[in-house]
Amino acid sequence: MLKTLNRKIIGDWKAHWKRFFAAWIVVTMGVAFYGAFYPAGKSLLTSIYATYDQLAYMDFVVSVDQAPAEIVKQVREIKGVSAADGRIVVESGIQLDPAQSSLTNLRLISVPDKGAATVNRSDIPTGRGIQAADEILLLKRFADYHHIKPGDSVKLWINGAPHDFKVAGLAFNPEYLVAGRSREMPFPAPSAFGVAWIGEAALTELIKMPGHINSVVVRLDGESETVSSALRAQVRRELETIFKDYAGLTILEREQTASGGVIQANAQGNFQTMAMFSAMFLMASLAITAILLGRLIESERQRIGTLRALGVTRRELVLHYLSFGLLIGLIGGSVGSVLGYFISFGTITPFVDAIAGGYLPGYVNTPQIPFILLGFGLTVVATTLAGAAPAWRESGTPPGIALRPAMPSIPNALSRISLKFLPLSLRQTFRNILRTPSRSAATAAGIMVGTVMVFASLSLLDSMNFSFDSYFASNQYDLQVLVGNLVLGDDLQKQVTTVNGVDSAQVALFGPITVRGASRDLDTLAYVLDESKPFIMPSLLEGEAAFSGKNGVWIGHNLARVLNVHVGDMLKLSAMDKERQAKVLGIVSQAFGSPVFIPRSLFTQWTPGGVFPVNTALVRVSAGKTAKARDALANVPGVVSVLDYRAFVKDIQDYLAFWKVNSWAFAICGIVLTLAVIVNTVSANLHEQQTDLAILRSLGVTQREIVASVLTELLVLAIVGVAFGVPIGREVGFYMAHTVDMEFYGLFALLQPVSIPLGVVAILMIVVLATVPGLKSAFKIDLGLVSKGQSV
Amino acid sequence: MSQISIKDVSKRYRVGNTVVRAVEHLSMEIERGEFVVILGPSGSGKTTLLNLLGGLECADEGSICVDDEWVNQMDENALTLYRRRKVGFIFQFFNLLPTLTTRENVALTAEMSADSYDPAVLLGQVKLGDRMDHYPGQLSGGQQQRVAIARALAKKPALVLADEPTGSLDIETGIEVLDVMRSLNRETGQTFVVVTHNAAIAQMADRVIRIGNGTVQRVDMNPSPLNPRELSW
Repeated sequence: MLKTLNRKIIGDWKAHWKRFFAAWIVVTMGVAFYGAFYPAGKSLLTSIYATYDQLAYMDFVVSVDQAPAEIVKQVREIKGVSAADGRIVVESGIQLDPAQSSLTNLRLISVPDKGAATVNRSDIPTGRGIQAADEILLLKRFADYHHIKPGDSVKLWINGAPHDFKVAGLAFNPEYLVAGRSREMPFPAPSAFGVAWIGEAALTELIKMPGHINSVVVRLDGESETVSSALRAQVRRELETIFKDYAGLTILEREQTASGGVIQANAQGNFQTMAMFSAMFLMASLAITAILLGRLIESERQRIGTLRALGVTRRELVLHYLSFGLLIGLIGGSVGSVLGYFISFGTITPFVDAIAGGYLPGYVNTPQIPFILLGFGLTVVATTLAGAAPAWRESGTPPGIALRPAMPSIPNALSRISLKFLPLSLRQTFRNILRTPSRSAATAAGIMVGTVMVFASLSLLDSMNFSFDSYFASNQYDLQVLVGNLVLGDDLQKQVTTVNGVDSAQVALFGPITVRGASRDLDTLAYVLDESKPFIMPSLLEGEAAFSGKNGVWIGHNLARVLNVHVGDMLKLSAMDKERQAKVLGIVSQAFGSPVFIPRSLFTQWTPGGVFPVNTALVRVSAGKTAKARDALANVPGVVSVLDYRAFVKDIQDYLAFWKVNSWAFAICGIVLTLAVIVNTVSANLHEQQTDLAILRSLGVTQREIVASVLTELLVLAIVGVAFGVPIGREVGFYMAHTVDMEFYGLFALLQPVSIPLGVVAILMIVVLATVPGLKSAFKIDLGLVSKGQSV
Repeated sequence: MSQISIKDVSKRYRVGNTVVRAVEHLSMEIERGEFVVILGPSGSGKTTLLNLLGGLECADEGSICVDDEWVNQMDENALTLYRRRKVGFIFQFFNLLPTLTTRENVALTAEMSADSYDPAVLLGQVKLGDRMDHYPGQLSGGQQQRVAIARALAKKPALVLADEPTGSLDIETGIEVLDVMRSLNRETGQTFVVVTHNAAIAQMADRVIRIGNGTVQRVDMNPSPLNPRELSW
């Protein structure tokens, strides 16, 4: 390359610094967004798996009603099992306020009296381990929520009797990284649910289960991230064999448990979303670079002609113009990579806060060098090549022609279509669109990319809002009363409705059930309640309205998805060794869990003597009497906990706030990028038309007429971009919404009809706004240059 | 009173650190219906003068009055309306809109005026009746310039300004274009102001204004202008 030609690069940078700065900003933003999301997602996964390995998180949890403690030895002998611990897990109530009788559900888990647990070890950031029979470790997130500290005394109610304990320490445990109570309530709700660890001897003494366990946790050989599915399948078979004779057997893999599943779905789902957004940011920034460089090179036509006339080769010219892209890529890539790394703390930390209460022992956010280099390399290569096509094209123009002022070219066949039925102004608009199909296609494509980003975010937000809002709206009660054992429905109904402050109540049975699908079974919950005035009224998605009849059941959309069940199908339901068949009358929205809703009338046909055993009462209370009623209900015999549903909803809303904010952040980033893409493509479009616009102005065409013509052209292109962008964006949003699908959790993907016009109007407004800089610059052109035959 | 009155007009440009005095205290008068040639060497300020007269640029000093309208006092919108109603431009490089056919290019300006020529008739007059549905890219330079002439005249402007109309054409085509302009001037009575550095063209003008260094050097009236067909250069 000629040395003197290199000096032109510096001169050109100085002369066109605004253009280069714009390109540099966009590239830096693109690389920074990439760095903030994709490598950050990788760091997050690394942190989670590091935590799992550090604390020996289980691969399986086996639950039975009761089994001898020695059975764990058989489990440890299974090939591929690295560790297994037997334990007792019981539900208890914690009396958080000595003045109030109401209890909050606290799960007690036994830990070995001697030595540490080998599976699901606790990390104790505050306080110390258990040293006495009357000491417990309390889940840190739960303790923090209720302001309980190490050294505090707490009263636990176990099997109806109170026991005083001292909190030895606050614990983080991988099994409750996301501290959800169950698969049906997988998100942390510290107002309603907590976990405590207690010495094995102390617990067996309290529940009178010496020498027995009801849960076994199993860890396999290898690291958490790499355990093979074949090994898992083999171990599962062995576990099934060992425990086949024990009642109440459930074997769940890590991802089938509440916390493991939520983590897996969120980490993987977010990682995919982050990867997708990173790719979109990167692609958009590269497209903008290509547009900007293309414009620059095309404006250099006469200089290229001069250089060619002077004997500069085509190769030298192409290399010369490639160096602009190379410099933009190198500088933008470097700065963006560094910025992206620092921004990544802003994307990971809120996630850790939301999901793990801000404490993750294996948390790391070291620079993910291979991924950062990947983004940097892609950027440098792509920005370098961005100017290749226009550089090659322009340098190929014979110098004699390049040096002459541009003469009108013969319009292509497409733009020679008569269009006589249109007024002249519209005719010109459409011919302009058809004259340079590549420019028009690029503008429409730019608008389409923006539309995709906006509608992907809107679809994700709509899906989240609909799924959660409809879930919360479906539960039409204030308190949920849980009793320890099944009781007759009429008895509980009477007891509950006579409590002071209770307006009305409805008893229900929430029970485990196995749904048999065509290819697999699913262990889930059945909700049985009176169909005449149900206190749970889920939103209908398909079929007949929920509880509108008594000759069938309704299922949540997750169950329909997991087992591929449709309205009208016969469902096989199995519980307590009995199997029944019921027709699916409808599919309802139910973000949490995969429940089956059974009308009481149908259920009592299946029970001997038509009795209705229940374990739950859904209660509506008089205004302002929630606390009193909750306290009074706790005193009803057999009641183990009374859940304040409004507090539970608030907890879940707090937990979801991060994802909503995240989705809005994506939407705002999308809109910013949309604006950048559209401003650049529209400006490029207008820039190419500047000569025509200047001629029109010199002929006396008014600014208003020009604005109308330009807007018409761009709005036509915008409609094309939007027409393709909306369905693609919708599908991208739905894909993102489904990245967190699990057996017992999933959003119902939806784009609200009202969002479509709102989104389209927003895009069109962006397009209109995007024309402002281009039109301003067109109106600033010195019209004298038109008559002087100079390039405008 | 003259149709065009330019008094003490100056226009300066800043090029880097240098101030270029394109037009300096220039004054002149032009009568209605005249065919005027402004003659001057390259850089003498003749295109700038034409731009000032046509409202494409604004004078720094002095006054320009066309048909009792003070062009130098107009704002951007008024200048646009002035160009729309009063002025027809013929550019050296034609500046036709490539996406419009010959007829449509002419119709564009015809639509700006309630009293305009039929584009087809006008194109017939400039001998392009058989090229009306062609696009500019399908025409020769001379043909494009004749379309530009038709476009300039279509709205029946009071003033037609032509900047080096033969500058991009060979002699034969240039004469043909000048002939069309002269004929239309005689037929319509519209004032034509032609800027050129080609002294031969001055022989067909009613009035010849020679400018140099941004000022009027000399004004000559031509009692017997030549027919463009008699010109040669």
